[in-house]
Amino acid sequence: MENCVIFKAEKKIFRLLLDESASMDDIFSETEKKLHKSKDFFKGETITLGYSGKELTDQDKAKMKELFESIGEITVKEIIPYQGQETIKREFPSFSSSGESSWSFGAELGNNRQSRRSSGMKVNKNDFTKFVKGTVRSGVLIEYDGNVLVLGDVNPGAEIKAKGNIVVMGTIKGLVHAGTDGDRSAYIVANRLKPTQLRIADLITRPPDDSDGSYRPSEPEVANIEGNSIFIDPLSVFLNKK
Amino acid sequence: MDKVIVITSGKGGVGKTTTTANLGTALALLGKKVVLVDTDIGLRNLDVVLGLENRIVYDLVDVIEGTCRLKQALVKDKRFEGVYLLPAAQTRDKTAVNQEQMIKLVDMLKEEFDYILIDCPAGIEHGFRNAIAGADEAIVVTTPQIAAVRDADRIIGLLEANDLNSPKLIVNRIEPDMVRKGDMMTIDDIVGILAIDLIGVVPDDQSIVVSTNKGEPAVTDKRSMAGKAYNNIARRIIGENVPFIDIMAETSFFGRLKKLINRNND
Repeated sequence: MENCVIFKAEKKIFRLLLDESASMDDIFSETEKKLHKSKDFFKGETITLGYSGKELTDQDKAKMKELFESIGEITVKEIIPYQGQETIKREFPSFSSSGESSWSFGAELGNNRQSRRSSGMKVNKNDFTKFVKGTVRSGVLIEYDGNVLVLGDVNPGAEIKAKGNIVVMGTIKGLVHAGTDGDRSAYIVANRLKPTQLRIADLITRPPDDSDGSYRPSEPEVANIEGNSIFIDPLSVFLNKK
Repeated sequence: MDKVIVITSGKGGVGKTTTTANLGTALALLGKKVVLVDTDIGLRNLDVVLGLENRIVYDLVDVIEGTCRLKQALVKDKRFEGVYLLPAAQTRDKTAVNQEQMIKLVDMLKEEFDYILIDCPAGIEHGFRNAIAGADEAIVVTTPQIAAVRDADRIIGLLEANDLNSPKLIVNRIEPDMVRKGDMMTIDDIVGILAIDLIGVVPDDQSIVVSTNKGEPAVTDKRSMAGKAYNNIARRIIGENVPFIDIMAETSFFGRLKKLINRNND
């Protein structure tokens, strides 16, 4: 598939824009082609690869790394998801690997990012948010290295695991785990909390056995860690904390 | 019966999970240490029926993959001493486990428990083969419906092909009134087709709906007919000789009176 991968170099990060509708095989072959074309340019560099547009499994990441290292002779330090507004749209096939014309307005955006970064702000995991549209049903596991935002309910039997925070614009009835890599400052927000279980970092809590779940809060609730326990606060109280 | 018992049916919705929960609890009430293993990976229910859903931290797949130790995954029942649940994973599928792993897992459980009840998923595929892999004996659950009996027959064949000979039969959700009117298959009809030993008959009981929704097994409810039937089955499992309740007996006073008058008139 032509142009299902777009290379984009930014300061310190080499970006891969992936076409969500393309198969991994297409993406790999296209990447290979592009690497062959531009290999002299990057030779010997050490880069961080940031991808967006499509999820990559660990296997995909390993294969991608191998492609860059074997063909491009580029050392890949790490491969991370990159949150970008730009996606590949099939309707506008004018995107090219150099992409000058298409990115004219995007350049400003890119500059902003760079200036933010040069002012000492580091890109960290919490700058990435995965958006999930609709109800998350039983049996579905959503795992993400950044934040997760759900536009819908999280049903019993569904699981959300995020290294950052979790926001649910609906009711949490399933299991949610924020700060999975041990970040105790992570929090969970929902319009209504009726969870099977809540987990933040290394702490686990569940509703008391006698709760009938009939309590309807007038504002969103936030589960967060205070001391050594998980507390539920109304949003306004949470915002005034500390 | 032996200690590792798989509860299976072929058809879905006949009451495998309810039977597992009730027999497990009933065995515990008889002083046994019991573990209930949910092998329905991806469609787990046993935790909900037992009211233990919100206590699950690790599951069967975690144990098998070595993410946690066996003891960490066992959920202790909140009401009864001696009942433990090994829950299934919900966000995985049946292929996460294979038969050798199940046999190994059951061997580990055997050291700790008097009885291991394995709740089998519906169907005859991968999940079914996993569930029966480590079992010494089988209980087949069916309802008085042709489709359920057909599937039970198929299951009995498969069990025998896997050296689980002479499984025991539970006929679930029988309605005495309908049987009396001749609208429902009788126990004799079913046993006649399946030709295996009957270990219990459980009458249809609306209180089961309430108790499963509440997460409280019916065996604890003294008034529940189904609970009584499950208690009797548990006693038969541990080797007691318990006579079958005559569920065809008239239960209402007027019913009995009418019978008495009829008999006198004969």
